Amino acid sequence: MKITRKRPVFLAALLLLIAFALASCGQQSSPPAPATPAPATPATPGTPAEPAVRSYPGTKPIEVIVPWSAGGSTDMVSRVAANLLSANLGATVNIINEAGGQGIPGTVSALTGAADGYTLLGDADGSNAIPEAWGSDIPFKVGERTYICRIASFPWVFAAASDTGWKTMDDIAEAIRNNPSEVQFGWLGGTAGADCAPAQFIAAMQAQGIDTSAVNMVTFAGGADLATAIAGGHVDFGCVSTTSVASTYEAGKLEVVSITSAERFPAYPDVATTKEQGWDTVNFMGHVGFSGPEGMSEEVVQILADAMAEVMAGAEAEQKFSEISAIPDFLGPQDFRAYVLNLADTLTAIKIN
Amino acid sequence: MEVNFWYGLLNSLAPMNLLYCFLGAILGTIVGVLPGLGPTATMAMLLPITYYLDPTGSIIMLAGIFYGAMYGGSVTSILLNVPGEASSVLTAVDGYQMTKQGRAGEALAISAIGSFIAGTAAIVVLQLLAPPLADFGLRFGPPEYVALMLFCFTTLIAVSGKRMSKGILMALVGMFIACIGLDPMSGRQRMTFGSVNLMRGLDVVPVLMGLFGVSEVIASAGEGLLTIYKGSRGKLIPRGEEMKKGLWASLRGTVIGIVFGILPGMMPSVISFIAYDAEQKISKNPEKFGKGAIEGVASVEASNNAAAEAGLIPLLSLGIPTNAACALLFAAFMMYGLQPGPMLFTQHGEMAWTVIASMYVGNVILVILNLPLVGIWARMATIPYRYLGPITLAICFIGAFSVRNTMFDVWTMVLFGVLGLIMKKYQWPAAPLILGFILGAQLERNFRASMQMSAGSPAIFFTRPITVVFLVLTVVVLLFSLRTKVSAFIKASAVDE
Repeated sequence: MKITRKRPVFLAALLLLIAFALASCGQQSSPPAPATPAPATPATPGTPAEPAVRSYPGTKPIEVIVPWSAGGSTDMVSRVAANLLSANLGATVNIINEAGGQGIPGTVSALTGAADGYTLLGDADGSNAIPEAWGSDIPFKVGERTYICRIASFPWVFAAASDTGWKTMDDIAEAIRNNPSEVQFGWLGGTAGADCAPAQFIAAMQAQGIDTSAVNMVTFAGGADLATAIAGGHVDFGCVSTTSVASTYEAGKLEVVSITSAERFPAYPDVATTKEQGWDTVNFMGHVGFSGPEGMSEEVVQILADAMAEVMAGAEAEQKFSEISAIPDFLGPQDFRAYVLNLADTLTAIKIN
Repeated sequence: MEVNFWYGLLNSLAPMNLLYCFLGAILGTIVGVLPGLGPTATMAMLLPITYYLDPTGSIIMLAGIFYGAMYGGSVTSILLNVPGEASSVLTAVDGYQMTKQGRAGEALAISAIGSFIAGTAAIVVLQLLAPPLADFGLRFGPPEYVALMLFCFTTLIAVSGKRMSKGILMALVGMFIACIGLDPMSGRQRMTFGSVNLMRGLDVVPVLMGLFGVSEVIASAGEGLLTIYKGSRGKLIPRGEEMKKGLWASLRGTVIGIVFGILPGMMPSVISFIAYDAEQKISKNPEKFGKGAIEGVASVEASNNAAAEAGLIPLLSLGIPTNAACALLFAAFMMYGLQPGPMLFTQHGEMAWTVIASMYVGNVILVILNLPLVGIWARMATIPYRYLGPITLAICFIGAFSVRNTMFDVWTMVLFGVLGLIMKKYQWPAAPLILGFILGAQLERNFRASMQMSAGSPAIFFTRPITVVFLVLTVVVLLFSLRTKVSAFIKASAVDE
């Protein structure tokens, strides 16, 4: 029969589909041809390096668990970094997105992995300082992980609905001073990086004697929702990522009032910084770095940090990070740890609610 | 030469662009067919190609995967009663009945044709009307979405089966389990019992694959099903009256899909419920729905496809990603330092128009690809179930894992598989549970945001025009449906006695 003869073809196709399905379980940035030899392991005088360490990373792939979904800022910075790192180390570096639960389960999953340097965390303020400072019942402590390096940082912008007519931070503060209960302040409920600069802003206003308690804080589930609501005029203003409002700003749907970076940002040449507008303490910058489970060997940490430092100095890194609107901002293991612990203290002090 | 649509069309027909478009379409079809594997996971996996391909090529390919997956999504729903994503849950209702009647070919063909009509229409709208439509979408804030979600709940009546009370109860169960995880507003834990895994919350894909997929395979195996369909292969394309009904339903589904699809908060899955409900309401023989009505398949498939592609309108005109797959397209643009939005057309017109034009090409490729595949897929229903069942189950497992790369989702699927079996046995409908699950989370979020906007006053729902329109519509539809339901109930009880 005609049908039976064609069945093997069909089965083969099905097998192919299954093979493809299996392949899709890992997401890898394939290592380029190992043209650059792996950097020599720094020989530690006195203590002979263990052979297992010297061979790190070898051929075993390094997994970077990103506790957020693909396409977000932590994910994109981690991907760019993984690609650069992979070229430098001559090893495969895979990005694994374990989204959900505001980043906490994915962080736990990375931090409870083996501390052998093959399980890393694509770490950001949302998985280190913020849960520590503002979260409740968080199953990890910010000090209990191995910090490897900070990679990049990025500014936040304050955006206001067009119909408010607000052009500066002072305009917003003035509106809140005069009529707080009429102001709709969109935020993400004190759970995410987007809420840090608003917390600083509220603290700064309170320091000036402005009562912010009557402001309507309207909570959104994500930055894209918040940016859309500002563009639609459903809330008056909020703090969002530079990329989420670039087009609505361009199209004149909303006003970008200020940016939290120390200097003006290339994508927003006309937008004054918070510092220029006299709000120096509203200067929060988001960050992304790599960390790992507690107890990683110093040698492995050093290999990773050195490799990252090396690639970050190159022109390719500069260009790749600027394309995703991030600023290369390297910190080594000790500095990164100190930075995060300090950030957690700062955020604890300005917690809203 | 002026950079415009025709320029883009010529460009999209260049050999390499055509190849990327073809690859995207075929990959999309494959992942669409495999239950649980969706465009999002596939696009995430392929995001690294942005390092190796030129922007036009990789965006064409990623977009192809996105809309290609909408074509493939109906296959397992129709043939195996195993929907792979929320937007094809209702395809299974009539599609699987058609398969059992030997009309699998017709069902598959109409879903391919409906998808083509919808896909093409959505791109025409995207090309011609994107900016004003995107502006209209912006007028929907939290209160508008609350009213819209309430309106969506009226579709429950259509998908509840014989007993509406059971449907409502299942929707409540769905809303209840949607609460598991972290409170979307404060980040506090809800019903997690201290479990880190439960903090993730449940994802709709493992839940629906358990309820529909796993339970279906186990139940069929339990019944000793030898093959899904034994007879000879039926028609591969609907003819005459059936074709006419299918085409009209596709057109109606397309309109519904586009209208609701431009709203950033609406998901294709919810829109497919609206389309199915509308089709059933205007039908002269509503009792045929659920028993193999071709309109049921056509409208659902057209609406989810139109909605998915209409989602590109806010993305390309305002840089607003409306769903996970669009967020990945957004990320792909970002990886090249490009910002989706109006500037894309002025600063990178060549690329923008090539991508738009490639979507027409892609839809043509997809329909050419999918119509001949109908014969091959239809034969799938004749494979002995002892092979087909385990393979389906295995793919479901892989699919559940692929959603968030965690075993938690696999266990969730197994648990809901058991629940699905029990529900099947006692005839509790599963579609309302999915609807409640999806709408519940959104309704909660938007309701609470609305209340924060108005400082707790419900007046906010009665002072905004769009909100009032949808609330009135909700009440009207509810009264209308209740009247017909009640009279049907009286008739039914009279027959019972």
